[in-house]
Amino acid sequence: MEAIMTLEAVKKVYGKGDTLVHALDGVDLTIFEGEVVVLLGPSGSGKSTMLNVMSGLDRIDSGTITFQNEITSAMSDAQLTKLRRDKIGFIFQSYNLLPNLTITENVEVGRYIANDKLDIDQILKSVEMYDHRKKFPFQLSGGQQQRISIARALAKNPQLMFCDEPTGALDENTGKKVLEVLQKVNKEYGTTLIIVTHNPGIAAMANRVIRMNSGKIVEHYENDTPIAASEVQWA
Amino acid sequence: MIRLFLNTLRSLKNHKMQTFGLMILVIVSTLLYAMMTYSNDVIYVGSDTYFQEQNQEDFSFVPSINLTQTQVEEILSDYDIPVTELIATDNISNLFTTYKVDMTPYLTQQAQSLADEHNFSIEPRVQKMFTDTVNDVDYHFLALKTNEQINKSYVVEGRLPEQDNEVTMNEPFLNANGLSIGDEYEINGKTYTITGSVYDVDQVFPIVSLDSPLYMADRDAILHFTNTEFDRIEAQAQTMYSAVFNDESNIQAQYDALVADDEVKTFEYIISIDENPRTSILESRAEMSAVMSTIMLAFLSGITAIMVALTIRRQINNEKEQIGVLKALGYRRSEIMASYFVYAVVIGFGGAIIGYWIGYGLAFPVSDILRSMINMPAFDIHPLMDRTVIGMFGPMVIIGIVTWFVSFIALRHAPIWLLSPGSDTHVNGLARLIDKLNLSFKNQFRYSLASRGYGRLFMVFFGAFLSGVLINFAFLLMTMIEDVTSNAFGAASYNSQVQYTQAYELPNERVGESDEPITVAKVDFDGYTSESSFLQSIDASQSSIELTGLRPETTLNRLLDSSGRDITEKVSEGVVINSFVESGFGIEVGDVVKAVTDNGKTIELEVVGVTHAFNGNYAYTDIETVNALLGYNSTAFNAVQSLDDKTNLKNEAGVASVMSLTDLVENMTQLNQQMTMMLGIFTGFAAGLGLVMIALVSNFSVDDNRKVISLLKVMGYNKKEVSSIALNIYTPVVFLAYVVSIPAALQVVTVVTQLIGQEIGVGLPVRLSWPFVGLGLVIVLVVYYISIKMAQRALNKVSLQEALKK
Repeated sequence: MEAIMTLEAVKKVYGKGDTLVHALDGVDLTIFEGEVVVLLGPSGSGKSTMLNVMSGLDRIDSGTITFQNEITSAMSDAQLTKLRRDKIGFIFQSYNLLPNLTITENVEVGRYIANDKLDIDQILKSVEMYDHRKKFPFQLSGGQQQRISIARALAKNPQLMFCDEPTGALDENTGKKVLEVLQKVNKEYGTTLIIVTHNPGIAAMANRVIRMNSGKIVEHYENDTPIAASEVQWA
Repeated sequence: MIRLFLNTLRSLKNHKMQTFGLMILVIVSTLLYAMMTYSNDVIYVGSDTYFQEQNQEDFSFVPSINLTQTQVEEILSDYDIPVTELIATDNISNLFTTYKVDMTPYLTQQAQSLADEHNFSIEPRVQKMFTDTVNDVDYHFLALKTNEQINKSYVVEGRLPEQDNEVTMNEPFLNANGLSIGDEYEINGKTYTITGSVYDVDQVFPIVSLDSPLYMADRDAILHFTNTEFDRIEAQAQTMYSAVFNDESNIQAQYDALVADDEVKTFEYIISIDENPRTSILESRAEMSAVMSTIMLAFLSGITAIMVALTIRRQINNEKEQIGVLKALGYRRSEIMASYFVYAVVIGFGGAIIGYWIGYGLAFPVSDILRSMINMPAFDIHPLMDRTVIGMFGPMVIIGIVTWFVSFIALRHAPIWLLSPGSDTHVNGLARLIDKLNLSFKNQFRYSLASRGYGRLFMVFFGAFLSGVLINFAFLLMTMIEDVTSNAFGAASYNSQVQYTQAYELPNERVGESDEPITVAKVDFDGYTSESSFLQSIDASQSSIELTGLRPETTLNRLLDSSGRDITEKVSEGVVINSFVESGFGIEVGDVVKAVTDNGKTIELEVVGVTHAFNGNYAYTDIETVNALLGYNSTAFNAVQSLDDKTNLKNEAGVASVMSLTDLVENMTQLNQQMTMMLGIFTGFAAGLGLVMIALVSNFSVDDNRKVISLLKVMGYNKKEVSSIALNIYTPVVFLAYVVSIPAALQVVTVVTQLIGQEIGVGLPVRLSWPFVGLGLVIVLVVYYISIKMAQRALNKVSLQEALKK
């Protein structure tokens, strides 16, 4: 497998003086194409900062981040915007759907700026939401809304998808359904997934698990036999 | 409690642009209020005292010439007038004018006799009008003989002339020409030293030149010389009598009694100071200005209050959970509400203090401009208590009331409701409608964002509508002024018109190759009256119509109707009236009018057309018809229209007056330019008002859509795309508001011009000029796009992490 993203000695510091926080403290990591990577850690461990700097939402203080052999940590804002536009998708804990747009239109928001546009109906079928396509977000459950959020991220056929606590606001059943959809996306579209979560049970469905604490990677292992999302032990 | 106030203060600080925009609205409202009211005061506050101290006339008059046999014989003898001419003339006044008879002693004798009989005092008001051309520019002068008792001159600075080489001038002329006391000034080739800056109470809205009756401060001067120098000036002296009643009680009743029994035509001319349009305009301007400034204050404060209401509503929404916590802790609604009054204090009171005092400071230069237009001295003014209270506290009170209302409604919920996380549980009707429209995705997206806040939509609509109405109001007035000035004389192409004191027969040396003979008669249209007319308002003449007899084949005075059709030949079929007569007297085509001359000769004429001209009360018929009316032969004429400049004939024997069309047109063009400039400033103000309002709403829009904007940025939408989707979302609303503003402005202007029309007795042409309508749209759209650019800064500041917030 080829590396899709590499982090070398990445540091990120917030505050100064007594309030100085080493959010990332010399992180080295390589993500490979098609992987499902789960990023675990307690609050304040640095996993959200890690997601921000990997996705180009935030800048690092030192080190290097490379995406497909391009150093993203040296890119301008406009270049980062283009990178996110063309190659990266996002899924948020709070879904962030646009309430006045229908489901189809919400997915179109992701598709509109893509170079490699996928068919909306096909995507909605993939996330099993095709029958709801004419509804508005408030007419859907939380799990259904998150599946639309996945469809929106998928609509531009990204190579890398960042999922920030995708099941954080969901119960076990709907959470597992969302994980099943993510697993399906990974398999059908070959999209690399980086899932940030509190839930250690989700680690069992990943190819690789990274545990963070105090801005450092404290555990890093590969999982040769990832389980199906439906079998995840919910914590 | 203090923490709650600090919280609201911080909110204001964190939204600097919104706070600044709201304060601007308050500043503008109080600035205009203070500027308009105090600049008004500079002119009017001391005017009563001024008129009283200078002993302004109660009325002025010219007695009818009522000579005894002995007096007539004396005049014939003194001025070598053949008795045959006396027998031949039908107008003894014209005959005496031809022979330059000084009627003053006889008129004064008659005036004094009337004064004794009706218990009033008189003083002759003697004046001379003349023109001096310097570097091809005509300067008009009105020399007044200095009065001792009535209409006494008011010396602002310096003194009245004591030597024959001294002169005083009115202050606006001195200022407009950069002249000072002690400077030398050449008039008709003689150099005078300026000794004083002087105003005259009977020269408000002065008419310094009959050729160019519209007063221009830089060209028109009112002069005082010594009496000997005054007598030496070569110009026709005109005398009327200024009068004040000796019994100061109930002057109006005395005046009414004086004119009521004027069956015998005691007065050739009489007008009370209250009837004088120049004075009544002064009073109505003062009243209108006071009303307008208060309306403006209330109106702009009201707009600010609506914007503040939107802001507070948004703040309360944003702080919903915090308010829930406070309520759960036991804070009362009134305690939480009180913190929002920071808006009223900071924005309402803070803005008002700044605006009020800037306005007070600006009142003086603004009043200088106004004073130069009406020739009134400045009076000392001081801030007035009632006005200061209204100006400085009015906006705060209005905003305070709105704040109370909005926060009272918004804070009514129970703590449990406020503490529960909000969710978008419905889609409003507009969003559903937009969804049904077959729009492109981008438009669907942006309009769905726009539809999320009815308040914002309303304010954008209102802002654009208001700007549109004000801009179109200004443009409609500009079009009207342009129409009136450019069509003032219709298709007339003569340079000047010479009016003779008597009729002559053709052929005649007075009618050259570039001249055309006409016959003019002053008539009343029996049964039709006009309370006043445009001409009256500028020269206080009687409400009569100048019936001009033309040759149908005239080349110098073609008559065109409003559609540009030549209707000159219709003069053979009846009478053609102009637009002023049509509207001022309510006469229509098909009416039969009975024209009555001063000496009772009459003729009935059918109105056969209306010529699109605004030159005063004029009507046209065939020259032979007018000759017949006046009892002249068919080949007679008493005036000549000419392609040449004949103003040099003014002082020649037998010439009653010379009207220079070129001068009048130039005069009107100058006025047009002044008015256009003022309306241009007004347009700028309207655009600025729209800019502030739309910029504020655009800013609100960014604030309310922070999460969406952040989400779009995270997804990879670039700045231009985000701006286009999140900011540039009100274009159809702005466009619609502007379209609606056009008929609204048209309606406003129509009503205003009807009111003015009723006041001055004319109908003014109101029409839309499509280039102006287009220009207005461009201005409103430019304002809108500038507003968007201003909000762009706030949009750029929205962080990418916003979308990641849980």
